[in-house]
Amino acid sequence: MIKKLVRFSKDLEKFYVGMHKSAIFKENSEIDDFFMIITFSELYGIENPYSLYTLEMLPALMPRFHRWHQKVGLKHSFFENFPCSCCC
Amino acid sequence: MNAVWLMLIGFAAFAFGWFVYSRFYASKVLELDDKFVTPAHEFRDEVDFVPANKFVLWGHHFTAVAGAAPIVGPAIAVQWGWLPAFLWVVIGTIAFAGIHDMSALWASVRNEGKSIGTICTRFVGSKVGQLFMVVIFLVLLMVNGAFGVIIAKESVEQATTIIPAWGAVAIALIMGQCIYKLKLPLIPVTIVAVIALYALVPLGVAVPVSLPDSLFGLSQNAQWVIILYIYAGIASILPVWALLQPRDYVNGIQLFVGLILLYASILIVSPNIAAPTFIPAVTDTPGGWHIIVPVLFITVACGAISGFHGIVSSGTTSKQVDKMKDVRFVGYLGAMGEGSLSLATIIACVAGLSLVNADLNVASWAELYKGGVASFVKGGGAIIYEGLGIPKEASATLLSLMVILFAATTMDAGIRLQRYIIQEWGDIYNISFLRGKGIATIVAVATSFAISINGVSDGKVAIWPLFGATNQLLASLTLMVVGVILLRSRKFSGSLVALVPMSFILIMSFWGALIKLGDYFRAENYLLTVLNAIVIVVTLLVVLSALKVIGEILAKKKAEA
Repeated sequence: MIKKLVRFSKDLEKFYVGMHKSAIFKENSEIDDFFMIITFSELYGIENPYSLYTLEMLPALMPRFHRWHQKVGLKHSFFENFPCSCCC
Repeated sequence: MNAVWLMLIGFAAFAFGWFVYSRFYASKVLELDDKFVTPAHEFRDEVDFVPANKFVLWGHHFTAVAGAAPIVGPAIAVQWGWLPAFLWVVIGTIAFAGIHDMSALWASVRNEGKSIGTICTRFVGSKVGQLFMVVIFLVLLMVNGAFGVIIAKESVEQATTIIPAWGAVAIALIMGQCIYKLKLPLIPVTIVAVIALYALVPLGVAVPVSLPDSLFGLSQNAQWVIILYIYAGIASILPVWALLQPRDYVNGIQLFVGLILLYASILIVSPNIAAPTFIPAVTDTPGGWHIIVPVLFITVACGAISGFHGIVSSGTTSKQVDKMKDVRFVGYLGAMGEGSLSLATIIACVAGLSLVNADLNVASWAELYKGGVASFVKGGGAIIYEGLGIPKEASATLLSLMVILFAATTMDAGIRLQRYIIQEWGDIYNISFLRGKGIATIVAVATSFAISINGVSDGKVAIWPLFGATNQLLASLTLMVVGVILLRSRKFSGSLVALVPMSFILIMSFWGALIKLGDYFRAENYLLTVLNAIVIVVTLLVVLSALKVIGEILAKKKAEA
């Protein structure tokens, strides 16, 4: 019974995801591309044209940053000048 | 006659189609063999090409092809009596739609999951393939144009549907957030969403919403059309996970629930048929038609055969087929699903309506039957009320909601697909401003809106016969491509299974399009006249090219003999 339920749940998930998988993948990759441009431009010393907007995005990005540093095994942010707001 | 007989005969015929006819076609002509490696395995990328469980894939295919058309078409077509509509839906589903959908899916699976337009380019010629794309664009344009008017009309006539119909948008938006942002499991979210959707039905009945009779000189219908296109424009540029995906999913579940409720109620109530068997000509009809041939065939539209199914079959479904033998299950049964929806509509109109209107009988039918979605909603609502005891208003709202949600999800997806084609044209023909998402969306919305608002002026779905004709012309062109492929594979007698229905539907829809050309011109509706003329010319070009290829193949065969 439980096995059947699990299978049904998996099939239902396939039904949910299937039709729009490619569009979601495309949108995700566009966001990733955008992120790459921003990251690499700063890495190579090119001024980030979106820095002002990145600053505005900080509140939204903070929880993700917190999840990330915990996931990689760091109790606190390892940037001295950039503490994690969730741990302070 | 009792409507249950209609249902049983219909199901028996569908069973014959599934167990005998499709099996013969699949094994003897298409030679479906599981040893063939499908594109889902060959090009597996976990995005577009993924082998899927055949039941899941069937669910996808069925919900993607089911729109408002299998309801609207038969609801108008029963004006000629129940027999012609019933026969065309049943025979059309078994020998036309099932074969068309299965063949389109097969052709695409055999050709690396390519679209039917590309396959046409490969087997008939590259210029013909480009013309094929024009027909596909026109079908999408007409789908959006026609459905815009249908939703607007339904919103005015069934004010109780407004809250649940727009509530469904809110539910889908919340569902998208729950699944992708809050990472909640799917099953509980589904249960809550479906309960919320049905809970909105009694709320809608209690609080009907209607717009002012006239605003800046615009009728209620025109106001709804404007609101709908603003919504469709926004919906088509939102991320798919935010609205379109959960909306399609909830709608799919609602479709299965609606069909089960309707058929269960028909069995319990077993209503008598109020319509006459056959009326050869009608004097006052919604489309302004008088004769049964060829108009019946283009009026029923997707209820029997639809070119739109070929776009879906070769667009997304073919890339997910796990085994070659699944082609019969998914393609043929997908068409059967749509046929069963049409059959339910016919029963709701010819039998259910007599439960509401005591005067509706064989004698008064031609005078009292008005046709259109409203008949399905009232008739079906009455059957559900008698059968399951769901209050009349609520059951009518439930069915009206089914129509609106179908039409709306198809419209959302249609505008998005239209946008993709416009962007693609921008790439092919190097027109830079068409490549942008914003401009392409505006062009898609504006062209469809122009057609919808054109239909609103005379209070009818003016585009409907043209949509039916173009959609079926596309279906016949798809069958023609399949015929060419079979002839090239030297299956001369087997190709008749595709070429005979192709010839019939091509003649009927072409004839219908010609009659309608004169009608639009006389009515001084120049927009639809031009569109109709384009459809006729493009079809002629594609048919002539295909006939040339067929002629060459047959001449070669003769020379060899």
